[in-house]
This record gives sequence, C-alpha cells and structure tokens, in this order.
Amino acid sequence: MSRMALNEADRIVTLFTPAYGKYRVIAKGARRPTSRLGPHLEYFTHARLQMARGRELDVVTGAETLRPHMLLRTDLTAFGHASHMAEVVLRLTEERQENAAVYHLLVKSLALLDEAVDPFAVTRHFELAVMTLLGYRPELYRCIECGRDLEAEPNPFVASRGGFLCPVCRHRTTGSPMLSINAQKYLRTLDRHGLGAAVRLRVPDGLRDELEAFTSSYLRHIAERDFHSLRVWHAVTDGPGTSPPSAGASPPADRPAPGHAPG
Amino acid sequence: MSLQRRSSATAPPVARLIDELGKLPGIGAKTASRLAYHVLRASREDAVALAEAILDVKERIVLCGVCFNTTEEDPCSICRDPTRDASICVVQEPLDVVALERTGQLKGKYHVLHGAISPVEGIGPDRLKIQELLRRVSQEDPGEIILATNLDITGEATATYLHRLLVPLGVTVTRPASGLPVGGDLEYADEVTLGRALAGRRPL
Ligand SMILES: [Zn+2]
Ligand SMILES: [Zn+2]
Repeated sequence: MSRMALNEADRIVTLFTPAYGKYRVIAKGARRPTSRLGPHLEYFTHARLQMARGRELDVVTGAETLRPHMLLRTDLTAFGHASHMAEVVLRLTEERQENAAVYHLLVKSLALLDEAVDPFAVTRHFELAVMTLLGYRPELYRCIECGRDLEAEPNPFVASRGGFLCPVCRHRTTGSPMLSINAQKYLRTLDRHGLGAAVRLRVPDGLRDELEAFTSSYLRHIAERDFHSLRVWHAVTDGPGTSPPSAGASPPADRPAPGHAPG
Repeated sequence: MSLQRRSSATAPPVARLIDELGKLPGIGAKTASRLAYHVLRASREDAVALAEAILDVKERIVLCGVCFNTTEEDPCSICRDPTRDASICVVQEPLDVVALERTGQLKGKYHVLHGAISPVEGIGPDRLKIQELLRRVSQEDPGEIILATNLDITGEATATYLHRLLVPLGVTVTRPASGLPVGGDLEYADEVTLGRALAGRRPL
C-alpha cells in the first residue's frame, strides 16, 4: 500500500495482511529492475508472500501474485480511487493489529475497481463499510439528539457526534454541513441494500461531488488529518487537456442487487 | 528507549551527528552511530573534506533552468550542446539522466520531473516540473518526446497523464516499452537492458 527506498537496492513496503493488519516489511533488491520480488510488491497487488523474521522488520523471501489488478495501472480514475482506499486503511489502522474484515473489504473493493465497476460507488461503499468496521458508523436514520426518525429534508451532519440533527434540535450546531435529501438517500441505500443497489442509481455530478465532500470531511475528522489521493486524482483528471470526468452511466455490478430502490 | 540510553551515555556533539546522519535515506539508528564513530576516529582532514563536500554541493549545484537536471552551470552542458537534436527524454530523477547517458542511445535533451504522480503521498502534477515541460514543448518544437518514467505504477500513471497533455501539442510521444521488468527503478537498470529498451521504444 505504500513503499519507500531503504537504500540503493532495497525497499520498505507496507502491506495489508489478514493476520497482522498493516505490516511493514523489507523487500531486498526490489528497487532493481531485475528483481523477481519487485513486480509482486507493486501498489495494490494482491499477493501471497513468504516472510522471514528480521531484527526490526521482517523480510520478504518469496512472492506470488494472486491478482495484479492491471486496470488500476492503466486507468487513472481507478488508480486514484485505489490510492484513496489504500490511504484510508493506512491512516485509520494501526501497525500489526489484526483486522481480517477490513482486509477482506479491501481485497473485494480493489477487485471491483479492477473489474471496472463504477469507482464512485465502490469507493463510497468502501468508505461506509470501513467506518462501520472501525467504529465510526454514521447514524443515518435517527436524530442523534432526540432519537426521532429523520424526515426527507436536508439535515446538518455533526462529524464530532457521527450523525444528523433533526429540525427541532438543529440549533445545537453551527457550521455543520447540510446534506441534501438525495445524498442522505444514497447513503441509506448503500447501508441497507449494499453496493449492488447503489451502482444502479443514477448519480448526477453535483450529487457525486456532495457525497465525496461529505465522506472526505468525515474521514478527515476521524483521522485528524487530510487525505491526498482524491485531490491528486481530481488534479490529474480535471486538469488542462483532459475532458471532464463522465457521470451518468454506471457499469452494472458483478452480482445481482438485493432488492429495492432507495428508501 | 535506545534514544534515551544514547543521550545519557553519548557526548552531545556525537549525539547531534548521529541524529543528523539518521535523517539520511536508508540510514537507521545503528548505521548512523557506526558512521558517526567512524567520523570521530577519522583524521581531521578527512572530516573537513566530508563537511566541505556537503557544503559545496549545496552552494555550487543548482537546477538547470531549462531541463531541471542538477548542474554547476545554468543552463547545463547538455542543454547548451549544439550537436544534440531537439527531442526531449522525460525522466523522474537526475540519476536517471546519468543512467540513460551511459547507454549512448539518446541524441537529444532531457527533462527532469523530480518525482512521479503518487496520490497516496499527495504528489500531484503541480508538484512536478510538468508546466515547465509543456512550455518547453511549445517553444522548442522537439518532434519526439520519450517518456522514460519508471515502469512501476506511479511512473506509468505519470506517463499516461503526460501522454494525454502532449498529444494535442502535435509531438510524437514514445515510451521504452519492452525489456524492462515492471516495478524497478530506472536508475538501477544496467545499460545493455536500458539501451535495448530505448532502441525498441514505441509510440504510445
Ligand atoms: Zn432531534
Ligand atoms: Zn539542462
């Protein structure tokens, strides 16, 4: 998920593993173009590795790629969103802390990006699921102050409390961003019916921007730091000489959607 | 823990040297103290020579205002060389220029980006010498641009992005396609492999 040069030939690579969570290892010779390990330790590669105990960091002794995720190497939008997912996991998890659920979510989400499923939907689903797994699940149905069911109207989201305030309790916050009815509906669809239902929704550009800004600001609040990947992705794809990112048509999900339209 | 143990047992000037050396890439705490004690045992002349070499590099080496390679004179000797053709080979780091020059395959000039697009690290196009490249291309009419960024995912993303920006400017954009395994750093490729990859470059 990240890598840095250790010296002329070697790299320190950060992996995300089912048994040890975030896990930094030494890959000897990986900076040399002739390295046999190098290609297996590329960003976002799903690989099976053999390790040897080292003094400070363990050392990779063998590697076999399970999925190279080629689309993430050639498509800048898929690359940018995969980077964002890696960044979220890097910033929100601790080194050597097992989190098999987050691991499986990451593996599944990277595979979906590689299969060209709509990166917007895959990424929002990933974010919501990661928040839930790590204990930051936003309350999407009830007012966090009085507990009343939220009505179909724009409501302010209070990041520090992880939920919305109803019109009666709204005076308790100032400066919390309002989330539109459609943005709230989209999040509830993801939450209730999963990614399969979300990829079938037509999400106009403005709503995409609103939802991305919402999850980004909540993630920033949780991690207490800025995330870079989506900003860089926008700079790369919205920049000069490029056409604006297309909205509209989402490729269908690779599995049947479980049921209903948004609630 | 080791830091505390060291600060109580180590004279402050030595501790300071260890701390400074430890900031260098690839130098861990152990290597830093080994190097520091090596300097401590070395002759005064050797120590002064090292210190002067470090200062010299900061005071005398600048970036070429045309290609952004490191140089003693601006523009650099490659940019001033009238026997070179107008083609531009785009690389990530100054060391890549050294590696490519060793192959003797390229007759043109270079452009050093000083990195690659890396979203996770927050490195976007604005952090690289990309606007400068576009300006050069419109002024110099280079004919061919060789994108010799690394063959790993960030190098590929950078090449994809540059390709998109360069094609409308009416230049031929090529990339050393085959021969180099994926994932390595260009500067460590041997010159035979690198030369072969350059000779076999293809339009993107
Ligand atoms: Zn309320
Ligand atoms: Zn120059």
